[in-house]
Amino acid sequence: MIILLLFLLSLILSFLVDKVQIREIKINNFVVFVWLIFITYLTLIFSSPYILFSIFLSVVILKMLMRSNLWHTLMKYTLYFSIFILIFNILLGTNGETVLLEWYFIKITYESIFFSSSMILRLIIIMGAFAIFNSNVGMEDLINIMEKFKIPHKAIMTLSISLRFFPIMLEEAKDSLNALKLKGLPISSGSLKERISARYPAMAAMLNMSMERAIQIGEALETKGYPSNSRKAWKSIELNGLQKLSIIILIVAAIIGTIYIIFYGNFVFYPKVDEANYSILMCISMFLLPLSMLLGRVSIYD
Amino acid sequence: MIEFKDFSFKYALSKEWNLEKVNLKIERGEFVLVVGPSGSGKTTFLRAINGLVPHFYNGEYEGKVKVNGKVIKDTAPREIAKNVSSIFQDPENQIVMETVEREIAFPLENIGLSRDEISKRVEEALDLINIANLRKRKIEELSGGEKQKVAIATAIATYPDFLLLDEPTSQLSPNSAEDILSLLERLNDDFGIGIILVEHRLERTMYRADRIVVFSHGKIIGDGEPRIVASKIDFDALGIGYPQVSRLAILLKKNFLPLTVKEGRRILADELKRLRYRDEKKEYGRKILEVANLRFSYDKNAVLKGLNLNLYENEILGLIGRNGVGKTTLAKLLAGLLKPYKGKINKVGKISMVFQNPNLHLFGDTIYEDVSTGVKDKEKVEQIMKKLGIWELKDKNSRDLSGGERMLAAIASIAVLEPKILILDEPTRGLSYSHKLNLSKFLKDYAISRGIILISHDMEMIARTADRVAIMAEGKIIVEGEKRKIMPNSLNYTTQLNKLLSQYGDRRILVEEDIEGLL
Repeated sequence: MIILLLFLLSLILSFLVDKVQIREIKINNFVVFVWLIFITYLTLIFSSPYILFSIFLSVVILKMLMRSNLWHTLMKYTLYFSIFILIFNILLGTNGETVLLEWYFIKITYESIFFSSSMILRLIIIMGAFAIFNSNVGMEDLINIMEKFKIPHKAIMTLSISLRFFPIMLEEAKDSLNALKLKGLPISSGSLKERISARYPAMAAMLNMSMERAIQIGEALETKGYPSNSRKAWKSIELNGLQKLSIIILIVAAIIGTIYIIFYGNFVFYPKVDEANYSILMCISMFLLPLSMLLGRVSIYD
Repeated sequence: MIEFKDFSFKYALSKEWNLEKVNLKIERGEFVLVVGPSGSGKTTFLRAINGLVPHFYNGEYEGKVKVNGKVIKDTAPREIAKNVSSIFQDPENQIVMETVEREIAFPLENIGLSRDEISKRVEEALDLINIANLRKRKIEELSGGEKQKVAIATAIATYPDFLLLDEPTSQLSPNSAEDILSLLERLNDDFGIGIILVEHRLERTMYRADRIVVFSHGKIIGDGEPRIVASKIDFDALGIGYPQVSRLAILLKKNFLPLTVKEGRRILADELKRLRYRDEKKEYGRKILEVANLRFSYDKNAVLKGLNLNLYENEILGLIGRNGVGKTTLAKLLAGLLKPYKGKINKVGKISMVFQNPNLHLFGDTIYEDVSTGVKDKEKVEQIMKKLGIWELKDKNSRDLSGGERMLAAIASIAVLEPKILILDEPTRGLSYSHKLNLSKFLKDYAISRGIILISHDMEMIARTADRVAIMAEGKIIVEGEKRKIMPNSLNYTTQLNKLLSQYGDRRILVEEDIEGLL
């Protein structure tokens, strides 16, 4: 029963917390990135609802202290998706022993409800973490991060240019369909095949324009001295002592988690939920350790 | 110093020389204006200096081009980039990074400068161009003029000896264009950076240049002091077009060519008083468009805030206003491509529009196909293409045409459907003087029994073509009326000729055709 309560609590919290913004602390982008990776990792290796709930609580606390514009939108989608997960699991997960309801081919068990709750909790954590990451780390910061990881610069440039021009090309795609409409060509009637072939001219125009754009960008890159062997990045990520410490703590958390799973095994749902299987120590550490991200704070003087 | 010695170049797929036997020297510190009809080799000339020819575009290459003693053919573009910076026509496609300061730093990173040096130069460039307030802004949030300023800041941060610019103001409003050009003048004056500028709009560039180089069919046909070159070569006949003041002086048989309004007032003082306005009466038909209280917003940004507008049969309405004020949005609403949030659009017949980017309208293998698609009467297609002067190009693919020719093809492809109301969004971009005259005549013919809304930054085009003018600002039409009432009373939105007449003479005169007995 406790598990179900925890699950309901986290659903309610994830919506309530959207209105609560205590502060907007700026954390070093690299630290946020590392945090996102480790949170995702921990969430995926643990299936224990207790531990997941602890991780969720830490994300909620971080949400209240950091900017997270996307939180509400992402949580809304998570809710839609949750309903789907719930129905899917309850109907198909017929392995549990504690049957609540049996009616023709439908068999709902305690175990399947718990299992889907833990899946949904995972989803909520990952979405929440992503909302925080996305509001704090911009495209250019991501490029810096990739440079820090020594990803080849050509790959980074390709990615950043495509991301920059993507919205412009979307706009162009809309307008080329509009141009067809103005020319009196039908684009939204007939069978799918007809509609696709009716749109062909717009695609041809789009292709022409993309080619031209590619040439112009190529010219610009060339006259700006790119590619170059002597290239040096202007801004690179530098971490101060506390920021390094926060990354170390996150790594330690991941190691502890992995060791725990290896030695004690994961939470068991089937055939019967073992509700008594929790380690208070582990729950506390999975709540506290991710909060170490706050050590990676950027001061206004940096 | 830039040095061309017997330089000729032909692009890989071209049949004729794109540049032929070019010999020329340009010193650091010169302000050189490069002019010529479209397809005369101006852009190729710039590419030969910044190394895009032959390193990006290959082809047949003869002779030599040197910049500061380095032979371009044997020097990698990234080496050339240390001395030469380039700025292109489209402000959008030349910016590769996401924020302003990162963009300025980009070429400096490529040179391999130290971090401190980059920080210093980014700061200098931001200050010099006066855009320090934009530093952290995203490129997509900037206006066209601001983007072009960012491009200039990026270009000068490398401390270049030469700045090459290919029609940098063609997509900007008159005010932003003026801003950019005065900036160039200052860079040239204060820092001795050599400016090599390709431009169609001579009235705002010719007086600033020390030297003008005229290209025609890939050859240099004139090179020297602007006033002298302009009095030897007939710019109007060549399709480039004189500044209005100079044209007036030529028509009045003056020997000395004025290049600015101030010079014009001094030299033509006596004649100006004698100029008579040729009256023309025009009858309008019934009302064919009535827009009332139109409101529209993108997300949370209100663009139109209760706009009212009328259009009558046989009328051409010139719509002007700053970049980003919502002119294109209004056009799309009228053409039914967007849905208004509130307000009424009552119309008679069909409304159609031609986009600012002509490429959107051109999707066939030939421009004949582009124009004739969806039209049964093939004679009409021929007629309209002949009127716009693109019949000879009918079998070409749009990619092989100049920007101006593409625009004419796009206009033909919509006008051939004969919508009752035709909206043109910035149709003069890249159009040469002769093309503009042609287009103006075509529109006047078209408007008989129909209506046209002409959106443009080109005041000469508006003055020559429109009957009424509406100025848009703050999501509304703030002034609307006969062009001869609105334009002479406006500081920005009038022609050079009209400014010339501000002290003496009849201020109803806007273009040469308005003068009794002149043409």
